[in-house]
Amino acid sequence: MRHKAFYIAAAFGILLVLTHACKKENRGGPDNARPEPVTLALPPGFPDPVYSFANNPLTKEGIALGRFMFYDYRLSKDSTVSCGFCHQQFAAFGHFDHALSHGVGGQQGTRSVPVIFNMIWQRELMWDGGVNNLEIQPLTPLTDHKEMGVDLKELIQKMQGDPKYRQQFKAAFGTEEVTTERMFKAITQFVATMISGNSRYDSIIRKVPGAAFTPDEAAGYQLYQQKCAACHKEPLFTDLTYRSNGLPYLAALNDVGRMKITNNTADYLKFKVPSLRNILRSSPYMHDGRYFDIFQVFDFYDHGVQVTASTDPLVKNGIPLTDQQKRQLYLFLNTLTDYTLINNKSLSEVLIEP
Amino acid sequence: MILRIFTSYIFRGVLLCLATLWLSGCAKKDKAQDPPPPAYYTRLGLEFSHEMNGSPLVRNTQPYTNPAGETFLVTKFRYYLSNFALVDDAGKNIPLASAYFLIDDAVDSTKRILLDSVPAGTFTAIRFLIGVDSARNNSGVQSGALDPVNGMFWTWNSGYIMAKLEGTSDAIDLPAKGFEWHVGGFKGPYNVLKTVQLPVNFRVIPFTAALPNFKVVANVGKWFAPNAASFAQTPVIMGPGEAALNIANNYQQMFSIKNQ
Repeated sequence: MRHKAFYIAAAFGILLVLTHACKKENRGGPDNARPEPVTLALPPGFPDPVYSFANNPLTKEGIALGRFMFYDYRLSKDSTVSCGFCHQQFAAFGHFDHALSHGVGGQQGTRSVPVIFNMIWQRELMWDGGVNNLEIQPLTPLTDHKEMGVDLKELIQKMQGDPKYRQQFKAAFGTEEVTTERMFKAITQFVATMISGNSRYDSIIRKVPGAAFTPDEAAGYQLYQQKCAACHKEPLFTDLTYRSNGLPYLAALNDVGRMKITNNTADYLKFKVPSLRNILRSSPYMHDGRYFDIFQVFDFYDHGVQVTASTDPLVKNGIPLTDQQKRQLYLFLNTLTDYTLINNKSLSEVLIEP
Repeated sequence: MILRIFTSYIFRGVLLCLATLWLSGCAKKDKAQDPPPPAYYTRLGLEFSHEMNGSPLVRNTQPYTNPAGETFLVTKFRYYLSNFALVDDAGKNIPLASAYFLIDDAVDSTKRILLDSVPAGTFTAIRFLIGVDSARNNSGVQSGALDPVNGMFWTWNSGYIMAKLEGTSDAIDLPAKGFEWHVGGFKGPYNVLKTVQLPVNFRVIPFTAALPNFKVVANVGKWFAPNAASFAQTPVIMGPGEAALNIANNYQQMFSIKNQ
């Protein structure tokens, strides 16, 4: 009788062990908790993102790590400048009140800080399109001597020595190892969540009950469609092309624009068409931040265009605007301010305690 | 007793069979995800050494003279190799497992590389790319040899520096006398990616112990001809363009195999 019991028990035991062994999800204990997947809510009517998440799936922990790094001033050479130092949320992640970017040691760059939102729709980044993938973008400000000025190798060693970073990398990627790839992918994840597609304009376009343009805004929208939309195309309010808008060349900065990237004289003075979304929050304007007021921009298009061989045909003869039209255009542009971006708590600065 | 059945040999046999079936079922499931069993593969070793027109390259201390008559010292010499393939006796191109190598004159461990997935056969040439193919220049952040931490990636105009030569030359009319030739660019007319084909003659016979191994020489002297290359005229190459392309067309000829 004892034998019988033994065999029955053994049979059940083997069955149990086998069924568990065959279930893959049971391998690895609770210690190896997987990061929690996140699905981005994309604004209705937007095209498919250009950035592929295939090799960088969004997770709650990855985004949190990216956010922490974005606001960590210790990522700069002298621990004074974070990504968020130049990319301020209230300025739609541009740099409020600064014509030119500035970084460690009080150094000044040659271009205005570009706003960062809707980055997952950008094929190339920077004013001249020099950076070809969102993931690789953090490399430029981190290592530029006039921006954050770090040696990437030293930075990774420094972060590897920090228990808080080790813990956050483990949560996001499974182990404590800090690598360039993980670091940049996490920053990309956070930046990917900076999406702007929920302004008053968007509500009106989506026919949300109660949302409507005022007569002046409606007139401004019409003006926009006639005079601006060819380059600042809906829904991103940029067609992501490079154009020379006739902005007078400044010898002091000697910025030839996209020609530097392509070596092609046809690209002389061409810069990426910036988005008009959140435009009233992201002054100053143009690639060198020379205009602090949007009305200066209207005036420039009205009578300031300086034609060169590469100036875009669309602006060669200027864009005439009456005072009333400028006012209406201003009021329309005001409807493009997205408070769910600039007030979004999940994008805001985190306190970094060393 | 009905329970007697459990003690019978037949029942024990059935139990054993059940267990075996279960096990094999489990094993089968795992096997289905594996690739089909490959034919015989081995590895191929390449050992790189660097020379300046016949004598071993000595960085930092040994003065050299280029065809333009400029004396110079070399402080840094690094390059990427990738997309290795073998050409068999039928002239067929057999790509080896995808791998990227950064070879640095200052780091001896980088000068010995092992290539995977070499099949059995008779081979007449080794082919490879000097640099990193355009796909990897475009597809975001990479790791290993391609980690931007290695200082071989342009930040302002995305793309790998395929090869770099740095040093000093008295011919340079700048305070530090330094030259930095960073050769890169993977697009359009300024694509510097160069394929090298080196003749070899070897057979891989399955299950023989010896790994094929070749000594490859890279001669830095080849960087200066046939296209004219002068430190005084071009102390700095730091972007895709004509200057980088000229150098790449020169250094395409720098490799040869020693032990044949």
